[in-house]
Amino acid sequence: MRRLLVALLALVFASAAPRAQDAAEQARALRKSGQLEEALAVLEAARAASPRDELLAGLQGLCLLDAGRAEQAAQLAATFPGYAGKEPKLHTFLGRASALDGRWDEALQHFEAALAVDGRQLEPAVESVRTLMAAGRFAAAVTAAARVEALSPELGRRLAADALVAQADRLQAAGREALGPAIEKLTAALELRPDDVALGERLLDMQVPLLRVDDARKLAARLFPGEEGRGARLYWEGRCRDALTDRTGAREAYEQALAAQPSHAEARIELARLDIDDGAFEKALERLASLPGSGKHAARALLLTGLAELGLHRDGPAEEHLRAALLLEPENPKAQYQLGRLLLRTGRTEEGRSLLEGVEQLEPN
Amino acid sequence: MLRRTLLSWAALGPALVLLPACSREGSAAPPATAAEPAPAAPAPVATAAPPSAAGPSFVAAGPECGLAERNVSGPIAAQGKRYLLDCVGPGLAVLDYDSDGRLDLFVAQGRDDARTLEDGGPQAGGDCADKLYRNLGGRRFAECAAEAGLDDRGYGFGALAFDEDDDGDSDVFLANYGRNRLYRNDAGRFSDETDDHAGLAGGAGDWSTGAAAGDVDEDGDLDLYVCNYVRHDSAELDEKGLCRFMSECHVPCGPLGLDPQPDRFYVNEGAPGFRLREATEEHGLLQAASYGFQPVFLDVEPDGDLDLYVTNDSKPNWLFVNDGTGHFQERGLLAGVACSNAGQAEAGMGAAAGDLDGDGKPEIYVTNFSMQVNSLYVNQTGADGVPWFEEQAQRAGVGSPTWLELSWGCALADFDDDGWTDIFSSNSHIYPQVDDCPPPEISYREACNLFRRLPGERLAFEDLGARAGDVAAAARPHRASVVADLDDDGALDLLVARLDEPPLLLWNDLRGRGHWLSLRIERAGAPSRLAVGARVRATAGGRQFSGEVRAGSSFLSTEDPRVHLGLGTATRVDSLAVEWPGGAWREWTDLAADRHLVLRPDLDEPLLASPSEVAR
Repeated sequence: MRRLLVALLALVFASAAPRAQDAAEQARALRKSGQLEEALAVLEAARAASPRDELLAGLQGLCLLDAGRAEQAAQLAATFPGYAGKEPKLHTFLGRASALDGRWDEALQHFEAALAVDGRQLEPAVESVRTLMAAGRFAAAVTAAARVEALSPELGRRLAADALVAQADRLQAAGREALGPAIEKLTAALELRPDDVALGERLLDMQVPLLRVDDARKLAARLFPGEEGRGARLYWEGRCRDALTDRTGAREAYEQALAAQPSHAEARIELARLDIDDGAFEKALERLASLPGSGKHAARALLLTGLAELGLHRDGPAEEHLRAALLLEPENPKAQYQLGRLLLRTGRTEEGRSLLEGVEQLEPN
Repeated sequence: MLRRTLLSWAALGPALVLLPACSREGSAAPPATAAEPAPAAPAPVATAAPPSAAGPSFVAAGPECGLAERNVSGPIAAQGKRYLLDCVGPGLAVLDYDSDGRLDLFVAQGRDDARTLEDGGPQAGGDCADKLYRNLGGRRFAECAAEAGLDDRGYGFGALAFDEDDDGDSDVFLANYGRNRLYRNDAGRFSDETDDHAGLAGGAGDWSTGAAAGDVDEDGDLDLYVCNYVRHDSAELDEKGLCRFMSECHVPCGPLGLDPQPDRFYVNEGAPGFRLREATEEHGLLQAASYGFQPVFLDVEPDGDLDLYVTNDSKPNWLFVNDGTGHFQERGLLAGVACSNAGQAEAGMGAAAGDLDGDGKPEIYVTNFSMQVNSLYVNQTGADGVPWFEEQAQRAGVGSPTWLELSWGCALADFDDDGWTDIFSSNSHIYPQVDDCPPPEISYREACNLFRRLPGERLAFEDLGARAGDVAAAARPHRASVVADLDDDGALDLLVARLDEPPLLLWNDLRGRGHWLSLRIERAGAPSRLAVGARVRATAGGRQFSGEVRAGSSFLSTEDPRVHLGLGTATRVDSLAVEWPGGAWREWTDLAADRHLVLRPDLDEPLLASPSEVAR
């Protein structure tokens, strides 16, 4: 039925040979409402009458890219080699097509050309940010996002935050010494997305190991206000105390976090870790048993269960849990190391050695 | 694989304890029953009260002790240190260089400008000569390096005292940045014999660090292992500028990012020339270059031959296991002593070995960087002799207290002679710049740690904190450390190097210490020669004790060559057995405590060795 409608529309437009401007407006509206096939039908008909119309070509290309028809889009783009005209839509399309091929600079030139003609164009401004991020030029992306923010404040802030987070990711991957700049990026991102709790927790996770406990405490208080946030606040207080080697204080805070929020998995896990450090393996197992076997904390819970079982000299369950932890996180060095040693000790030398050698390949702490 | 039958606690069973005042000897394994008449043990020189529950207490020596020369390591901290080279500090050595029976002190010295090294011979370099402090008795020392010919002016790091030419006196190997040096000692006068040993000096730009000696092939002479750190090139580093630490601090770069240098092993070719020949690969000790700091010879299984543990900065540590012929296989990761419990390499600095649980097998303690706990590898090697360790620092109570500190020197020693071995580590951050950056919890100057072993089967320690007296009284830029009974009062004292400052000497003045026995283990015959690698086993008061004679441990240093046993309330040692390198062994029973003894396989009776009473 839908195909029939599209065919009819094409027929009507072909016979009526509408003015290019009208067709463009109609296609724009259809694209905006997500009716890409309908928009393409309108544009195809209009372009039959005006094959060199740059606006129609640009819109057609953008609709093709939106519809995932990359090959057809590339064919269309190829008909405008070295385009240096003044049509923003065509520049935007050609930019996106270039970016799809990884030709970042060419793409950026097209977006800039589009914006040079009409600085109020949102799409090339947004695409410019995305292209810069895809190219790994995060600082430039943050700057470019400010241009979007002037046109669409919410979108601009979101893009800037995305760029800052991507920058932080890259810095974090560069190692411990780059964690400070990574923290700065995340802090800036959080200013743009102040209600993003996940982002805030990521920032806390970086601040605490670097002993920025004052900052962490303030942030935790802001992210988790009131009675509702008490459990999370106390958990982060425990993490801060842990980092400062106040193990008694940390334990107390984790216990209070659990009292305030019995479902707080991280607090339970940290308590189990402290139990294992202290040799209280049964207690650790008791705590870990109440955690769900799946979800974002499952790998850590399985690892700690394995370690507690190891502490109790129960090799079978220890192996089972360490293997399960490794299935979820194959590059976890602790699980690899402990399982490797267990296997070595229990006579499975080849697999044990292989795991341990794998650990040695991992980057040092 | 050559493995001898070992002296073990089982071999020192009740039957022997029931044979008071007797000694036994042998050449391969202890016989089951044979016994000889007992030596007449010398009278005790002191009577100790039961050990205090308060633990050790130390008093810092004042300037009157004579250790006045400040360390020179490039510009002082306040002027800013641009290279790691200027941040590591000097090694220390305890030796009796003049054979007067008193332990003297050697302190390596750095330089004020590493770039002048290439031009300067051993006598160049201004006022930056190494220091030798002669022990005058009465807790006083006098600097005498120039007089003794040991005023080397290289940029000094490792200080190893060992009898390289087997003539009975302590020679000194200096692991320098630039050319290493071997100074042979002839009746208290040193001469630089480095050039007689091809390759021993290393390359002009090499930075050697810790060194240790042991007779790995049991041919009667001491072989040498030398750690190397990074290739230091001032011009290259100037171009690179400073690096970031904790994100906000600008500090000297390295070691990661700089070229690591391979360690070297030198086999001693013995009489007549006692030449040291580079034989790293030949003995299975060749590894990919790492950032080596400190080697320690020890017998991990124990099977009678010397194994070798090596700390590496920011890379896995190594355990080289001796196959009984002086050939090694690296088994650090497999044995569980290469990295943290989390499977991550740490910044290994110093290392000490000692039997903490009385099972006759040495534990290994490793000092690490700030924000890594020091490692306590507990030896759980079983009857199969395959080395196996479990890291238990956290469980034993010595983990968290070392988390923020950066530790260097370390020792496993019974400071209060209560019969339970304590742990010492000297602390201070490597970068002076950390004081100008967050977090405030990490500072350049730090106090040292003394952990007192809590009596009982469970391996547990308490951090003595301020109760350790001046050990923890002052936050200073501590570096290497050595343990030695410098005033021969039966209490282990501490010497701690400090960057840009004179060393800190801490007298152990704890009242109410337990009983003790100090043993200088010598080889048979004349002249009197230390038996490096000898192992001691003792039973007293129903408990077992053990020790090994080492040359090279802690951090860049050589400690008191004597084996010190804290005995707690026991006033007599029921049985004492020594196994010498090469397999000779001897056993004595019913020895009175609280004395310094000399033990030799060819002596029926121990000799009293207190310098105040006996001139050896």
